[in-house]
Amino acid sequence: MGIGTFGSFTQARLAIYAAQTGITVTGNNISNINTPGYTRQRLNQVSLYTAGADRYYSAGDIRTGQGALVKSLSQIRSPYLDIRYRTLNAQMGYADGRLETLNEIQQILDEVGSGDESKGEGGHGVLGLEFKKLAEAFKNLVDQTGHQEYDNTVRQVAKNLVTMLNKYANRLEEVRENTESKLEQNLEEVNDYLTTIRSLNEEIRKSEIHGDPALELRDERNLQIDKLSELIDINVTYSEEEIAGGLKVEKLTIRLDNANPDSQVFTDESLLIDGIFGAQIKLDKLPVKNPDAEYDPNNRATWPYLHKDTGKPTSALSQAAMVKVENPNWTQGDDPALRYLDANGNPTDEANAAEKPMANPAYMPYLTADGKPTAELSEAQKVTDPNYSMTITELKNKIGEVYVAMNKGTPVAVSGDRLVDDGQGKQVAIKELFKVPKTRKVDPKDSTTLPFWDDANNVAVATAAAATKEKVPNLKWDGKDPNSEFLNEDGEPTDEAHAALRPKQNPNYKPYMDAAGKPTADLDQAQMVNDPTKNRIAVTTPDLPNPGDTTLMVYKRVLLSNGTYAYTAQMITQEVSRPVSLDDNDLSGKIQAHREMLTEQGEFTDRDVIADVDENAGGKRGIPYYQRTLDLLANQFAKVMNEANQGFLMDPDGNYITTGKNDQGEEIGVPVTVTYNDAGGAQKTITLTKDTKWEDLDPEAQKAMQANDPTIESVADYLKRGGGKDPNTGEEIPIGFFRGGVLFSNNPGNDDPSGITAANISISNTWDTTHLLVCDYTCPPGSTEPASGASDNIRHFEYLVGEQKFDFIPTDLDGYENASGVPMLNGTFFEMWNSIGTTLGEDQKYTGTMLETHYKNLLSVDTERDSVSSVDFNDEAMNLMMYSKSYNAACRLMTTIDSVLDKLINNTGMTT
Amino acid sequence: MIPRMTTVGTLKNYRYSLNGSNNTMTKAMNMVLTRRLFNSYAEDPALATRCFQIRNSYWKAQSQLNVNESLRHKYDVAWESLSNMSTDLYAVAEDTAYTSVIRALSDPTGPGRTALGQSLEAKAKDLAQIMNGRYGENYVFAGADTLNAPFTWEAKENPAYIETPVATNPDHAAAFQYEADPKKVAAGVLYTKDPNEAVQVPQENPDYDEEFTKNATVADVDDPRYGQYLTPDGKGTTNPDIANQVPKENEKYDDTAAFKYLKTDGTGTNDENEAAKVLYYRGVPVDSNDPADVEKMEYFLKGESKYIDVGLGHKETDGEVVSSTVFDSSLQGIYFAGGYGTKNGVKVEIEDDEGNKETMVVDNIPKNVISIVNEMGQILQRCRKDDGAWASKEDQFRFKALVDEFEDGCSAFRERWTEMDTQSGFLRDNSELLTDTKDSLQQQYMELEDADPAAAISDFMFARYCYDAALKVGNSVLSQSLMDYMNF
Repeated sequence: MGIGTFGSFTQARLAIYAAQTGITVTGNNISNINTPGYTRQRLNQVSLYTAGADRYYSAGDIRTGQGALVKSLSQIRSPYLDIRYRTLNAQMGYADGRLETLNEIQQILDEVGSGDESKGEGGHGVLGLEFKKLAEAFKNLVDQTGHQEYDNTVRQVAKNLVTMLNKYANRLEEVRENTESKLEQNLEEVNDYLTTIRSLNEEIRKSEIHGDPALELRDERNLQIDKLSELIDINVTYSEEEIAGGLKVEKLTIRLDNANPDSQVFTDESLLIDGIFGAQIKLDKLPVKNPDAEYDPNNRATWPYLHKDTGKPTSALSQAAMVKVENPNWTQGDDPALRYLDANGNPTDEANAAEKPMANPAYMPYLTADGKPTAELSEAQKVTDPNYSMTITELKNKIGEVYVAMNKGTPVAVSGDRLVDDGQGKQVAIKELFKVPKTRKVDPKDSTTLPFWDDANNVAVATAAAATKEKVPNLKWDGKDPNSEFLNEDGEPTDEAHAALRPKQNPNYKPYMDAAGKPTADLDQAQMVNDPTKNRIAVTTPDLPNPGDTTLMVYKRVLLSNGTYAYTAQMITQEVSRPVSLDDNDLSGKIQAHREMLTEQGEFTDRDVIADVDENAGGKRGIPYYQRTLDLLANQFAKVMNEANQGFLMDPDGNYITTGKNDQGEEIGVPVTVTYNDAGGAQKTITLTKDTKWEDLDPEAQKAMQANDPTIESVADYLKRGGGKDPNTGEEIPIGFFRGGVLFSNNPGNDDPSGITAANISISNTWDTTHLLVCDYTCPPGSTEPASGASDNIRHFEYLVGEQKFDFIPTDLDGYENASGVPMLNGTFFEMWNSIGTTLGEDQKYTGTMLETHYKNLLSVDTERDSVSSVDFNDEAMNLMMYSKSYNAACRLMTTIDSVLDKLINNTGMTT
Repeated sequence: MIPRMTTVGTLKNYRYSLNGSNNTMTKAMNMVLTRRLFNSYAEDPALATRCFQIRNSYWKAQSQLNVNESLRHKYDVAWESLSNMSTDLYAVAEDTAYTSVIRALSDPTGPGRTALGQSLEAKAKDLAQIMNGRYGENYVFAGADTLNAPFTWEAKENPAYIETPVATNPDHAAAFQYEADPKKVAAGVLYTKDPNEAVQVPQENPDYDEEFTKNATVADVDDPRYGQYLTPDGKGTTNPDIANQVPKENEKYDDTAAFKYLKTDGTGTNDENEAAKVLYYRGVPVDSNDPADVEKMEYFLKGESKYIDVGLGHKETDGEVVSSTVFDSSLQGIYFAGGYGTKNGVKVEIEDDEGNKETMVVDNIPKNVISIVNEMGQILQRCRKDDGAWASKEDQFRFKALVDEFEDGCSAFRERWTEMDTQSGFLRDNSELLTDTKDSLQQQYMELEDADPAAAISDFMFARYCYDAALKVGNSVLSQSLMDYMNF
């Protein structure tokens, strides 16, 4: 189409407009150069060309464009780079999260370069040095045995050592608590991002419906997604969603990005955002257990069930009485068919109800927030799961509606003879689904063709209007409750007064024809015939795995030219969004880093966890690993020292001694002997030595040693209380001379050596107040006391602290009996301490390198993204010049056209 | 395709690089300030671990050196003590024990023996005192019993002493002079101190001669040799019925049984100060041959030890220390004094001025020099004060045996002193070795940990130069763009 005379003005005007818009867009780009997340915008313009035949067109048949048209604004982004950026961001977030915590641990456990310079201890460390100082103190005590000041020095150094262990353990616990706070804070951030993204999706959707590309909102959304990707590894996809009438808008979907290496796990691809629906990630909470309810065979209140026969408490599930699971929402008067819940939690009748063991009313396994026992889970106080397990909530939109995903399967060709479920639980051929029962025509003369009954005239009638009205009976009525004898308008049970009305049925009504051509009222007897109008059948399949979900099978048929049908089947599922419990390895990014640092125990990991959950868990070391390692060090140290400081006096030959008399009748130390008759009746005498083992003794000897106390089960027991009990005082009468006691306990106020950890290891109460160190167990012949300066046990202590190598085995720690039985290290206490630092250093170094690498990669990708999406002054300067010149040219065009038309109008053909 | 370098991208890259440059400079600065090559395990885990191990060895060597020095001083004190002992034993000065002994044997005048005896006994006390020397608060020669003086002088106990005699106990017979008459005493009483309760028997004639009595005539009845018994008027008779009736003596009676201690002359006393003094080592009589005492002494010398780690590779096997990896710091005084117990059956030969030789076998000759000197002193003090004659022939032979044993004891002392000197020398050498080890270890960890100041400073200067350059580049990055050259 040609351009009209004055059309040229439009052409110039469009050019001016395009140039001006270009300058505005450029200005916007320049203005937002520092705006985080801003994506440069581009003006999309096209040449305006109007097609069609002109009424008045140029004879030259030349068709020109009609100017420039500004079509749209667009952003320049690369989805590929976005994916790479976000994947790397999650990796960087993971490394960053780990390194952050490792650095905090380093502040506690890394003693490189530390030490008191003023005492010449610079670089010797602190806790590590205390082990060395303790060995040195023992060495000095060997030289100066019996002098209390040296004994005091040993105790003081030991005090310093346990104080440092306590301090380090407490600081590690602080790091753990801080990390827990960080995890919770980061989860809040994740949830904020998810909420914001969902809201932005909604805004963008609205804008798109109104034709606005909402570029700024997209920028904001991308920024939020970028931030989210540092915390969790996500997979972002865009698709089109049909709104109505063919109108499609973009839909953003965010899923977890398949972080779990286990291919059988799919929870790591769970939906977080689907368009306007969004989920949240929550830390699981567990009820606080009542310690008094822990199973005790002697306490019936700890037995959870009631016995099926006696009705008394029992702990055996197999012996428990079973009861139906009741529907908590059901009240008296409701439909009895809904009174119970089935195995899937769906309401059902008594016959199909699930069963559960009957609870012992005295059994209260939980504690409420104010510390009271309760049997109700709902009343129990909830605390964060120590495993920091997380759950993705169901997806909801802004007003709280739960997301339902509809998945349409592809229609597939099937045979009409294939047996399928008809929705009623029967298997029928597909082609049978398209058949209907053969019905009879209504014949006013034949009362069996009339469906209703008129009581007034006592005749069958054809229409409901003419029929008598009757109350709708409840066919499931139990015959007892008058309040549920009928059904109301909504089909719910009710009493007679509220019953719905319906036309009374003709009892002789026989609407169908059977195969023999006879009338019948029984649908099952009716002859089934093809219904040519019916080409689509939808059948709901039974036994759905989750309540709320539906699965439809849609069968279709097409009549072929040869008179036969071709069938197709299509599965359509509607899945209601529901909470997803995440597996340990479903997440990545900073959240996972914090979670791992809070939970991973390295060599202390339960073997079942390694077998069932994460085969690599044994090599993952978080805060608990360092806590447990320190605990193991403290525990082993206390155990070894306590054992070395308890024993019985011996003679130089290693025989345990007791009180005897010499020829002069003086009391002296003599070897402990046991005289007994062996199985053959022969009298025998054995001497108990430090090498005597209970299990190696003749059973008859053991019996003889148990004569005064049947509970004796070791040589030490015998030496300690083999003399029975004093009948007057009740005190145990020892055979041997016990020396020493517990040096390290679990509390400074007691002598209890059980459950010692780095956090509670203390100098025992007795050692703190007395001189408890045993210098030697060997007495000179005949003596009942070691020599005053004998120090072999002190030397042994020095050896234990400074030289002895131990196997540090995780299973030695209380509560970790199912951990790895392989020694973490065979070394001295100091070497164990050094090894903790080395492990930490290696982990830190590796993580630091990973962070550096990921950060560099991220920066590289970000630069690539910037090269596509970010604003550049040079580009914008070029655009400015370009649009400026365009604007000038358009103005010039306008002037020229004006001039030309002026010539044409005012000066052409006119003479004066 | 050439990447499109945008202003935003360039700024991000610059920010990262500037941060890296600043980080490098900070690290270099820290190295200068701390003078260390690394300040955390993470910077070099293997090296940090190695350095801590070396420092551990250094600390150990230092404490071994400290205790080695302490031992060295103890041995110095021990050596000094033995030197004093040696002086006492060997020096030729007038008041030395040895000279006194020689003089006692050869001095024909003799009267000075008592004085010499007193001198020797005092010397014995001195020797014991020397052996009770202390280093710090510990007795040097007490073996493992370092808090108690090893040598003590105890009153000589009477082995026959019965503290509370019981007349019905046959074992207490030595405490009663008479055999009890069952008719006069309660049932079960066997002995008595009361002559009136004793069994009465005819008085025995002490001059009774059986042959003379057998052949005696009437005239001989007044002869003192006549008759087995004595009549009340003191004449002999063979008729027990007319003999004087006296209480029956208890054959087991020992008149010292009532005394707790024995004097140097063998008589009893209950006064501890009057009693003869016996040398004890750590509560065990040194000169005892009682198996129980011998067992203890054997334990002190062979079984007892006081091991200490002085850098010999301290090791235990099955909970028992490997003795070759530690140093036994116990010094048993009795070992240096020549030993314990006594010799029996010592044959002694003495030749008188006329050349006649006489031989006697003597028992219970002490083996240790302190007891020897002490007993020599006691023997000399028993000599007659007027002419210096030996109190008995036994004393003379015993003295000779003691002199011979003293020679042996001195010889043993000399050997053991030398032995201790060797140990002392070992400690001196070990001290040097430990000092070298300590210094070497210190050198090692310093080489591994300490930064070379020149390198650290030049690294820092270079890092700072780079950082300054980065800042300048940044200024250019921010200022240059086409915008600056646009001309409207």
